[in-house]
This record gives sequence, C-alpha cells and structure tokens, in this order.
Amino acid sequence: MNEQRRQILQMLSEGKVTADEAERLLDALDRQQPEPPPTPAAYPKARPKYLRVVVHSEEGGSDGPTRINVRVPIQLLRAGVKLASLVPPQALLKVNAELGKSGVPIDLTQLKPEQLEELIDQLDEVTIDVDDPGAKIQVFAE
Amino acid sequence: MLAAVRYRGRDGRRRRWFVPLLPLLLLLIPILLIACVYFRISPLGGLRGLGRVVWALPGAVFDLDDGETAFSIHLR
Repeated sequence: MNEQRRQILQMLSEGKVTADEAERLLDALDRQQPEPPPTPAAYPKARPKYLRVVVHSEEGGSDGPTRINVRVPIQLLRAGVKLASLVPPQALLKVNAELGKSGVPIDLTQLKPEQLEELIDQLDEVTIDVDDPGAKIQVFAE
Repeated sequence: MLAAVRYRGRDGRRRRWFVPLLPLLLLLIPILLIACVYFRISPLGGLRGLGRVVWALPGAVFDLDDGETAFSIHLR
C-alpha cells in the first residue's frame, strides 16, 4: 500500500472525509497510477534487415575448408524486384523460351512484382539449415 | 559509399582496396542511359531503379575463404 492510499484511509478513519469522498479519492489515485511497463512479448518483433547465407564445406580441396558468408540487405532484394519490373515483355518472352528449352517451363510474364514483394515480406521467417557430413548450409534472416 | 575489397593470396600476402562507389556510378550513368534507349526502357525508370539499388547496397557483405586464399567485399 502506498503512502497516499494510507493517508486517505487515515483521513477516513479520523472522520475527516466521508466514505464516498474516500472512494472518489482512491479512484482518482488509481487513475493516476502509471500503467505497468509492457512485457517484452508486447513489443513488436524487430524486422530483420538482412538475409544471410553461410556455407561451410570441409570438401574444399587440398587447401582446406571453404567458407562462404553472404549478407544481402532485404531492401536490396526489394530494389532488385522493382528493377526487374522494367524488363520489357519481349525480353521476358525470350527468357521464357530459353527456360522452356532448358526444361524449366516457367512463364515469367505471369510473375507480378507484387507477388515477389509478398515473397520478400515472408523472408523474415525463413530459416534453412542443410547439414551434410561434408558441408553445412544456413540461410536465415537477421 | 565505400566498397572495402580484401584479398589474401596463396603466398599469404594480404591486399586491401577501398573503392568509392559514387564516382563509379556517375561514370556508369551515361552507359545506363544509352542502354535504356537501346532496349526501349524508360531512362527515368532505369535511373530510379539504379538509385534504389545503390541506396540499398550498404550493409551487403560477401566473404569467401577457401583454405589459403580469401576474398571479401564489404559495402558500407
């Protein structure tokens, strides 16, 4: 019990204030009380800024293990998507034809920048771990 | 904006270069504009796209360590 609450109750017991007045004072005191600090779970999770790819291979040849560490700003992926939207449709048709010849029948003209944006938005949750006896690959957002 | 390029050769000698990107980009802009006209892409859109990419570059890292040799690029 804090000091102010104790004083109000003291005044009530001494008859200086009525029960109604004491109640109003206590209510006013409750309203003045600061809200408890939010728990860590209440804070929104910070959005990752980078996509990181780490490759560690023991089969790097005679020189020793190979390590690759790539950190790509997610903003750069977004910028790349916007840049890709400038590619003229004729070029996309040519790419489609070449992809088809290579056995990858993907129609890039159907791929909209909004869909790619949505894909990038979902990268926050991406975690890929590949554990192989000779190599380890990790892809994650940080 | 600066690209820090580091290289370590088989002889163990380390080399390091710091490359300012802005002058390079200024040199590339006329080539980009010519390419845009040639490929019938909006030059303004091309410039805007390049600007977005350049703006997003800081923080990008590429490290390759292959036994005795190593190569890395850090953009900041």
